[in-house]
Amino acid sequence: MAIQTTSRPAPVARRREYNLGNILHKGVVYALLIGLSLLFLFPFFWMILSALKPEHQIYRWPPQWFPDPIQWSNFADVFGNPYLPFQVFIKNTLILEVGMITGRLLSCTLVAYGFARLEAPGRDLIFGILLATLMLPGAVLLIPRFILFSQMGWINTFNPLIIPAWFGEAYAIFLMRQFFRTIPKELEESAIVDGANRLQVIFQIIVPLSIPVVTVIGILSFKDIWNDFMGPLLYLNEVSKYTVAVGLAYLNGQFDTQMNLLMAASVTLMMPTLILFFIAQRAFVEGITMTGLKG
Amino acid sequence: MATQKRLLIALTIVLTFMSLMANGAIFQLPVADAQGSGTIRVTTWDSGNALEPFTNAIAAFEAEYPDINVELEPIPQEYGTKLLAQIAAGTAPDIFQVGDGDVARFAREGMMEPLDSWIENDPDFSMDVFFPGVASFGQVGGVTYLLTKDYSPLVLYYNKDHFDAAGLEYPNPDWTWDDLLNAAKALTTADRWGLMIPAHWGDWLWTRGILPLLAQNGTHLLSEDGLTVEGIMNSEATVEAIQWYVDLFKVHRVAPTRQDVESFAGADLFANGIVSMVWTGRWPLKDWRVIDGFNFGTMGLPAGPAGEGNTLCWAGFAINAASQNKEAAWTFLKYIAAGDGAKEFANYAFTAVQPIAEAQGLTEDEYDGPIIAYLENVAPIPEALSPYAGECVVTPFQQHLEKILLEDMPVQEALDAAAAEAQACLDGYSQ
Repeated sequence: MAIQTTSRPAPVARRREYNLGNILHKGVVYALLIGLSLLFLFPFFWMILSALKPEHQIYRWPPQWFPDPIQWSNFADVFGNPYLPFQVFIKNTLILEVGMITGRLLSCTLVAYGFARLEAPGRDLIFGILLATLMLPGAVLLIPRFILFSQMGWINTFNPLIIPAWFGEAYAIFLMRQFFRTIPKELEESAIVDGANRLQVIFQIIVPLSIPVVTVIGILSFKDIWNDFMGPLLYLNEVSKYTVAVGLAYLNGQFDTQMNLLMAASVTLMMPTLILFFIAQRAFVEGITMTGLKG
Repeated sequence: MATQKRLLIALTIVLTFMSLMANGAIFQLPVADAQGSGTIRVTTWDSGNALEPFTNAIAAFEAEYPDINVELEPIPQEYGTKLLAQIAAGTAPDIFQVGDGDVARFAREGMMEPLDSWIENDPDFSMDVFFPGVASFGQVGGVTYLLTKDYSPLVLYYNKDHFDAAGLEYPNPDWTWDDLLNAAKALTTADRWGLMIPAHWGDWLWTRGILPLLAQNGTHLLSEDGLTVEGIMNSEATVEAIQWYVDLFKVHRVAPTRQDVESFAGADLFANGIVSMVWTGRWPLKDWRVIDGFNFGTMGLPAGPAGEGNTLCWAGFAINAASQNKEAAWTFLKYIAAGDGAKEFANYAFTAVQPIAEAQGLTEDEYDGPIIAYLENVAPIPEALSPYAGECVVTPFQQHLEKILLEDMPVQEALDAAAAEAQACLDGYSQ
């Protein structure tokens, strides 16, 4: 009994001590996380509130937090505006998304595999040149590309946006090549021993093992294409061909911004990227476990 | 003989018929052709609801001229980038919009079709319908390149409630700099400034808004021929006007500095009663008019020691010098600048067409009347006097004005340095 009574208090005290420390630790961590997440959520929160205000309330001082009255009509004004056919903009953007992402994934996979595995003279030099193109500022290419595409008769079509995506993209090739190099060569060699050709190796061995990087490139491309403003603005002339990003600019003109409508449109049109982000989070993790490379 | 007679009659009939056809070809077809036909492309930086006048005007135009098809290609942002790329590639629209700052530069580059021969050969069109001071913004060296789309002079807005509470008389057409300063002092309190100048968004280096002060003191930033800065930008009159401007912030403290404005994070200082008067363009008027209970008025700018002076923020339409369809472009251009199409634009911004302004009752309007009454004594902007003014004149002026405002550099010293820099830059181009 005595042993039991003396031996018991100690762990209890330790547990209490541990609990206190634990609670304190968790408290600090949670407070920090909540504080920081509020900081990051604030602009989003402000965007939603502004989307529901009459325009002059956005510029009020001291700031008016909550819209009074709540102006739901901002959404109707944006999406019912005959000069801003957002359903057409969304359709055009989705055409570009499908055309460009398919092209980019296909071409980059093939090129990256070449750089990762195939032995060829000058391979690393060509890879260096490819990476060097990343250093070129976009503004330098703007006019030459525009003149090139206009001589090809591609202005006011989706061609200058979609077709280049089928010829690879330096950053995606770099990411894929780095990832392919981490895949054990033995897997390919055993497939070749079993009679697989190069394309089968790529699409049946390499690509299934590279889901994480393919997902990352797919998601980043989706976001870039969704937000791309300069490309569609330069190459497309008619309103009926414009994309979502250019459509949003209509509410944020050079000299006239309709802030409440811009916010209403932005809240709605960021949804696809937001939803994709939440789906993508799971896809990343699944991809990593599928490859069997980690842990 | 009978056969010969019959032949003669037949020949006469054929000849008469042919001459009638030729008559039609010579005298009728060109008249129809003078209006042009086919498709023309038009571009603008306007966006959102500002496109309404375009779509309305185009619909009415196409109904009146069924042979001409007008395609509108708006560029809501990066307008200059896209337009210059299109011009470089030879695919620019037939009619494009040009801002006042680019007029001289585009003329120098030969991008715009000179309009004088079109104007002279068109019996239906006369430049007399425009306000003369406004139309001159579309001319370079006496050649007309553009017709006015819209414009805004600088305006003084004042909060009537603040004036009433302080027991002050509202601004009137006889106001001078002293009246403005005295009112600004009387209206300034611990949590309020009397005057926001030179813009409602708080950019105290905005040269366009400062230019009227120079005009009101009988000076400018450069000579009329666009070649001389020395002795003008740093003249006694310019130094005096800039000193008066700087003292508003630093001595009298009646105007919010750039930092003061920034601390309000984009809030509208005039509509929120944080400033009592604001000196800016006409643009915010449409937003302020619709605020319930906002009791304000407008007035032209006060006179300086040399009298009245103002300037314009202006935009016009030009015909692309490389257009393949200039006749149709001219028909559309005169329709939107002076014809029925101009009425559509007049609903959105100030029109340059005098009969339309009169028909609109602009001169009688509570807010627009006092603004449009001051279209005389409009000074040309530096960018109109020299195609290099943006880079050579405005930039050094702004850099040195900032030194005056932020580093307490004496005005004369700063403007001497700015003038020397500007002159060297201009001389570099004229050699």
